[in-house]
Amino acid sequence: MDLVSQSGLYPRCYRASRFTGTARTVAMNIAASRCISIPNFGIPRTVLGFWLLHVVISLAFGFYLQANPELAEAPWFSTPDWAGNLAHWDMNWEMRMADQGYGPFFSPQTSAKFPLAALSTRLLHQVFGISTQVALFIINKVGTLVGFWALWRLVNCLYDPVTANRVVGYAAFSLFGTSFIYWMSYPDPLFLAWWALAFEALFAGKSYRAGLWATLAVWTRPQGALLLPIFALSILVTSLKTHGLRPTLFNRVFWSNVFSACLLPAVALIAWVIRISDVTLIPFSPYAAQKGLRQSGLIWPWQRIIERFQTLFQDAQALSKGQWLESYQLVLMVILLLVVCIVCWRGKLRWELLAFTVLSIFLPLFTAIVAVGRFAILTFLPLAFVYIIPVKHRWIDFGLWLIGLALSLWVLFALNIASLQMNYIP
Amino acid sequence: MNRFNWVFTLVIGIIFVLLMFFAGQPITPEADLVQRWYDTLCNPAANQLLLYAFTWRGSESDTEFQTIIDAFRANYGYTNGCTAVENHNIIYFQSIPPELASAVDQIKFVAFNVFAPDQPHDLNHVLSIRAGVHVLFYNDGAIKILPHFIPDSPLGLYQGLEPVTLYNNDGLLMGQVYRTGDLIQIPQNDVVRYGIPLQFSTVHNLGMIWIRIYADGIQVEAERFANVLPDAFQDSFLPAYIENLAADKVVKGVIWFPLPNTGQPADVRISVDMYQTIWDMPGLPIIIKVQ
Repeated sequence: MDLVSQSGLYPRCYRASRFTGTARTVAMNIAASRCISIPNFGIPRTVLGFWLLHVVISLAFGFYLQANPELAEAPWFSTPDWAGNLAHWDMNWEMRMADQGYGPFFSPQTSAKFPLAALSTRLLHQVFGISTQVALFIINKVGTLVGFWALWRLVNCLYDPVTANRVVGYAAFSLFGTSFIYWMSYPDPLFLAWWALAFEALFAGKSYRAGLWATLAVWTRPQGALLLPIFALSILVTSLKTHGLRPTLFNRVFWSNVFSACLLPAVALIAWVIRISDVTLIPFSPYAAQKGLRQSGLIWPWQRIIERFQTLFQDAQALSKGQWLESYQLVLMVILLLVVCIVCWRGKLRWELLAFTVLSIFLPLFTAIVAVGRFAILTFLPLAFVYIIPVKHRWIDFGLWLIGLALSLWVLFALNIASLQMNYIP
Repeated sequence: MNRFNWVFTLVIGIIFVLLMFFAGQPITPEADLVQRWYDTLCNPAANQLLLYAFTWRGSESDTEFQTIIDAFRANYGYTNGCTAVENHNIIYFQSIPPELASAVDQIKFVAFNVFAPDQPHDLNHVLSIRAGVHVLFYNDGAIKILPHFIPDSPLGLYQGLEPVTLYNNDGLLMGQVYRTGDLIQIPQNDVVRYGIPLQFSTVHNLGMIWIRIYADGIQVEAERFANVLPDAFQDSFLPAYIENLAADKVVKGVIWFPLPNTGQPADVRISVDMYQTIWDMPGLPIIIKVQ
């Protein structure tokens, strides 16, 4: 049985000519039934396996801390139960937003946060009566499952199921050491889901649906806004290739696609910025609040990287373990960016995904965030490894996943147990 | 547009409406209540009924309560008013001690930054916790606010030399405190310095111990420096804030406070909080009667 059939999930935007025999027939059937256009919710076993592993790690860590209350808790307040132990750091602000909403005089952290996860937390809390920390846990785990599944679908759509499985592995056990976002109750996995689903819809020519997913993305993380120009440009480039400049400008379908993909998320984002700026009394919140939070204003991304490398070469002893980790993430990021650039240059990667990856990483670097690992994991960078490592050497994949797992576990413990902290700000 | 897109659009529309409302809408009414309570406390000329109605004040009479409020305003420089700014980021549920489980539904801690009229409004995380209050939600619907200047506690008053067990805001056993002797007095010119001998033992690593002192119902500031004391007492000097204690450690010493040499206080109490970390919130106060 071929891998497409095995997975139980069939790509909806793939090139049917790449498949033969049974897979081709199935693909054509699926294409023919596209008029129904209800997503197939069959989840590949690889995705389920990785997700279950994350759930186990997450629960084990939460209950371990609950059973060992003598371990001093990490910065920011939390209850000592298992779910509270998974809600340190940024989740403190998510809980504050769920509890308090936004408001003037809040410390900048909440003003700089996007609302979808906090709103979902509040809904779960109010409708089902579960505590906010448990609600955050549920949202994270749902986000992780949907995120892996969406990433798998996108890569499967662009390449094949084998590559999709490998990419999910590299996303699940990140060599950046940032898989803690799947273990602690971070809302980030939701963003992974939204952008992957949005790109999948865009590449399948479903611009309106791409806009719907992008709308959720702009309410989840600041990088969501990056989807809009990329979508518009992608539709423009596609139309230019087909029709040329003049027909494109007067083509109703072109403008319809652009507005379908970009209008709704743009309105959603602008409405949110106006509303939240009004509530927090910080103009252009949450973006301007992010700038204020980091204190240093905007800075060119490469300047930040150069500064860190200068420190590495001139005063390495002054760096803490956490700063070494940040530096490692920067180096890895630069290497992987080069890889995906070359891959894109060779025509094996859609330029839209490269643009999204580059901009997503530059956005935090603009605001002086050096710990880019948490941002890199939410881009297409994990894909870079599947180009470097040949399929026949799958043991290397497993080795790297194990390293990613070990590194991420180390960071998880360091973040959550006061005595193990290493001055790493996630 | 197919059916999925219609449904999806509808969901997005609902989320949009919810987000617009959600942005400025807390689901915690205690934040507003405490803000109004603090606004009243900050404005002596305003109607003070809110303070009387909502403050948890144990057995204090109206007159005693008014004296406590006036003393608080004088001690902190708020006689001519103050500005209270709620720290929305530190409003949190606390564990309910077993003694209150049958009467209290939930307890929340609400942090506040309070500024005197001539003070810059620099928000401070740690100071907002020190000026924060506990809000007790009783099963019968009553709501009471417990500030740290009240010399009493819903947990009762501990007397004598028996050890008192201390828990943090999460209900985690932190350690014990003993009063190891009677009140010490050292008359010095126009003041008398009073010393309270204490001994602490820790079960876990502690971020901080905060000791507050009340003389005749009024919160008084503890001595900050040992060199105001005779040499014989300087080695055993304890400050009001003791930071970073390891587990299974015993700390013994005397905490001091000065009073004008106009007569001995009839009632002296201390309140002791043990924090797991220095940035933690306090649990409900433990009040120990010294004299």
